Amino acid sequence: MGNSFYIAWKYLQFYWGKTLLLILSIALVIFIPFGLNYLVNKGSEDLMNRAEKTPLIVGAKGSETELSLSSLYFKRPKIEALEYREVEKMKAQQLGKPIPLNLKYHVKEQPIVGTTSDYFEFRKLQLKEGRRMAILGECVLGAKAAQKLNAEVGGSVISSPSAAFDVAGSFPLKMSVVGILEETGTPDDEAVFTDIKTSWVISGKAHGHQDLQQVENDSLLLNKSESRAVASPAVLSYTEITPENINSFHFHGDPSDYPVNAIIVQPNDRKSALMLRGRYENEQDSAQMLVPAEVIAQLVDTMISVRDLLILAGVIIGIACLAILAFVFALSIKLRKAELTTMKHIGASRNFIGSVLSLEIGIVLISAIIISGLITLLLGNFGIPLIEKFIS
Amino acid sequence: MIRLQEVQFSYPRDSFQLSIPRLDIGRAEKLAITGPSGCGKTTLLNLISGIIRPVSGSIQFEDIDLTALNAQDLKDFRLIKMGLIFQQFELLNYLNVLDNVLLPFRINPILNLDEDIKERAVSLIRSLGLGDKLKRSPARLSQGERQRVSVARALVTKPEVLICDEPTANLDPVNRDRILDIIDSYCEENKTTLIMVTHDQEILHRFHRIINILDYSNYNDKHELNG
Repeated sequence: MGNSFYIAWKYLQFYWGKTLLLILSIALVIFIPFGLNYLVNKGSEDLMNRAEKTPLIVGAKGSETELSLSSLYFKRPKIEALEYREVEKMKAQQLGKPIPLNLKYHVKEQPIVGTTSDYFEFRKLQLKEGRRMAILGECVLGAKAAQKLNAEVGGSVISSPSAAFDVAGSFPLKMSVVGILEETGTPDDEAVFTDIKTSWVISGKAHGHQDLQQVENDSLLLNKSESRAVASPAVLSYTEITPENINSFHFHGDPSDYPVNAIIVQPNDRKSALMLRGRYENEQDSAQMLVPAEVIAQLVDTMISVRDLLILAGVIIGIACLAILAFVFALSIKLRKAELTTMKHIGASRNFIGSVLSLEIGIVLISAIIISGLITLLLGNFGIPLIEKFIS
Repeated sequence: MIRLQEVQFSYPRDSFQLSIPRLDIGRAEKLAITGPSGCGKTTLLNLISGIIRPVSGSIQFEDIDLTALNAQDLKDFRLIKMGLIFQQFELLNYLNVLDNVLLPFRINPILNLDEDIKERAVSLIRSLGLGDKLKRSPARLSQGERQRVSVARALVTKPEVLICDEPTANLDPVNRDRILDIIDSYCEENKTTLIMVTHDQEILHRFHRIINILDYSNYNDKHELNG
């Protein structure tokens, strides 16, 4: 065995280009049906898992898939926002606990999730270090977000403007990092959590600036009376919320009008869930309520249909490739007839020659299986987020 | 040492027939087999080495009747007792020079490959002037060098009989003489029997006996190849 393995190995090593090509081709043939099946199953499982843990979602009417994926994976919403009064309305109904999500902003590539502390309870998110956000301008980072932003407790992160020339008021806000979450293997790892009010500060609905009553430079004011001062655009808003300026932050207009992109609802019980769903059946209503598990299940069904088609195609191509490979191998044995005859003439048994050839095939097959396993593993780590990113 | 008696051989579906009424080859004898192409020189070598079996007759190697051995025993016997050198060298390009020389030890468990054998192979290769090419593929050697590797592979098992099928046919005169000098000196030092098929008239003076196979291509019991 040792010597036949040695000779087989030397053959494959000498013709490494041919061997590599063969290994990669077989790896691909194996990966397409098996790896794809694994990836889609794992991806579907992850998608369903998160969806099933989210009982109800309320959002503006539009694509149910869009709303579900935005709420579950914190992707920039492509649907209209709701008003915060929807949250207040739900609270008043006392049929469940509403958890608002404001998802429009980012810190670099990491989504900012404006929400409440209830979200941490709901997702059972544990702090690895620090504490939850308590006041305006504080944030808690998911484990991967902390790594990617190279941020730690006591440091800060700055929100990215939603558009370079957003004159409506979205400006970069420097937020203090007060906590980092344990890794969960979910999209929560990627998020920057702030209080919903902080997300409104980022959106420009609230801001802080110098006390206009104390301003001596008249050019900073458009109008001033004893009770009211109107700032000119020359007054600079604070870009960081500190203990010194926090009291100057204030909201303009009615907070009930402020945007939320989605509301996760934890109904008190099954009956409450049914009642809540019934209340959103009205076609005139601008909001919709959906069960994410149902929406994602439809999506998964589509994915599985596509997967089945790909696997079928993969199996057909695989059989054709294996037939070609068998032909190539038979041809190669024919081309090596002189070499094999030499071995036989010198004194090699038929079994020995057979074992050399079998080991060559075995090494190629095992390497191909390992490589296809590695591709599957790699895609399992990087591909499933990619699948999630792609579908969302 | 080797005796062929009443040996007849023919290929299936072929009119070719080789008949050897008797051929005796002595220990340490140097025998050249000549004759035109297609007359059966290589067939005779293959019969002697047991690569092919006769239709009838016997081939004795000392006390052993080679025709009575089964295929595997015959291979084992050949591996231990005989060294083969081919016209086309028949080296494996994917093995380096040292591994090619050690090939007989790798392909059959009857020969044990140990450090002594490796040292013997290295010193044999060095004595053939290829010491600096131990790790090189035969594909990167000249014709003469490749044939020297082939000779080293045949000699590494210390065979009692060296069977060579036109080993110098593809070589220039300088390389030819070099290879033949190596083979001659090995055979003389080790009392090895040499059986060589050749077309080359210029080298026949090196042999003790020369037989022309053409005389034996038809069965005739008056012809005995025992010189």
